Amino acid sequence: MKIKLKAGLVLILLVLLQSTLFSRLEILGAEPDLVLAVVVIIGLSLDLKWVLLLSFAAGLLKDSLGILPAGLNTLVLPLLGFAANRLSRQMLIEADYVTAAVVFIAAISYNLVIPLLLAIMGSPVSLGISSRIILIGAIYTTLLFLLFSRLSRLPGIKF
Amino acid sequence: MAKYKFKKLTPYLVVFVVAILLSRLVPSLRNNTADTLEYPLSILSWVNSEIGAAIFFHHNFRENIKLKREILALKQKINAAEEALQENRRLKGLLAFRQDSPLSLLAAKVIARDPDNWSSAIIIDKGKKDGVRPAMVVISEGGLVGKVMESGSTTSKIMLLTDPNLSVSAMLQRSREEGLVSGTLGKLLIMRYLSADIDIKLSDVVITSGLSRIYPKGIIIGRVAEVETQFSGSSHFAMIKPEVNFSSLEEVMVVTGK
Repeated sequence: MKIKLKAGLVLILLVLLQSTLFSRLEILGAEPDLVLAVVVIIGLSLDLKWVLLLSFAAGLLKDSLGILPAGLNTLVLPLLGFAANRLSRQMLIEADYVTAAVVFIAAISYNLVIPLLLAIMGSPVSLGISSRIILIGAIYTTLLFLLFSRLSRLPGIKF
Repeated sequence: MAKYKFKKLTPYLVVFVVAILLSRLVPSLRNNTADTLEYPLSILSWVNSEIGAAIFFHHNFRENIKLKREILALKQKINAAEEALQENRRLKGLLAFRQDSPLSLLAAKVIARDPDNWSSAIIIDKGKKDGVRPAMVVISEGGLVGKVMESGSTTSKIMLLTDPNLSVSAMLQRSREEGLVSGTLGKLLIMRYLSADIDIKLSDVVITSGLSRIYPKGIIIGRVAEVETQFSGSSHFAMIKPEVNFSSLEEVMVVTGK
């Protein structure tokens, strides 16, 4: 229960950081999406019930602070959490670089699905802008995830 | 009588002689004693000096901590003063702009930004209670910022000009040529549908054309940074550097009336 509560608090904190401090980290219009990375980590390590609940809550909070058509993150984040959870049942994911690869794939998938859904909903984003955000966003998220996972292992720091 | 006198003087003589003898002996005694006690004395002396140094060090140490605290407090005061100065400058600019502008404006603070990469928005601390309604235009002293998308009772979400879903009818201030400006989710904006024979130069000022009912005419959007030709060759498009620095927006103004 403690780890689930901790994961929930981390997600809330990250959504708040994402809408305040992370805008300072913008590179070529893309910011790192650590909420997505944490949803993947939760998907890899918790029960499906908790994965769905926490990723749904994170998506809802993210949607409530943004202007994307309502429900996009609420829909996509639990799907990614679900996929990560299924993947963790199929293979053992322990090494940092494997987790980072999963985060990268999740970030690419997320960044492909969102513009696709936006286009379906009548707010298409041009191909040039989409490809820039998809690539830079995914690489940036993965690199920052790796940095944070390394930092979390430093003595005296415990996430 | 003489014997009596000598007897009386004897103790004085003895004292005198002993004094002379001691005066001869003591320096050598003293030297020997000092030599013998050199090590214990030097140890004691070292202990003494160390205690003194320790007391002095402790005093210095305490003073150092106190001074460091004072420096920190002063630094914080300087920082707060600098922050107040900058805020003062910004607000003065906004106030001057507000007084000069014919528009009815409501000042608001930016409290958060859109957490997504796929849209560009800010959240301000004014909502329905303050008269903010969806589709109202938001500007800053630099120029056009965006428009209100949603308004809650005390906060509102503003879609920024950098969002690709926000399009503004615009024109070049110098040549009065018209086009449509929209965001690219990056630092620059794009101005489309410029005619093939357009009179356009770098650094030309782009303003709102007032063709749409939402945006009042004449609000500055930015300056031309690049001019390109469409793939088909039938028209041009220009990249516009916005006048507003969207990444450091702290205060904005909502146009509540014209």
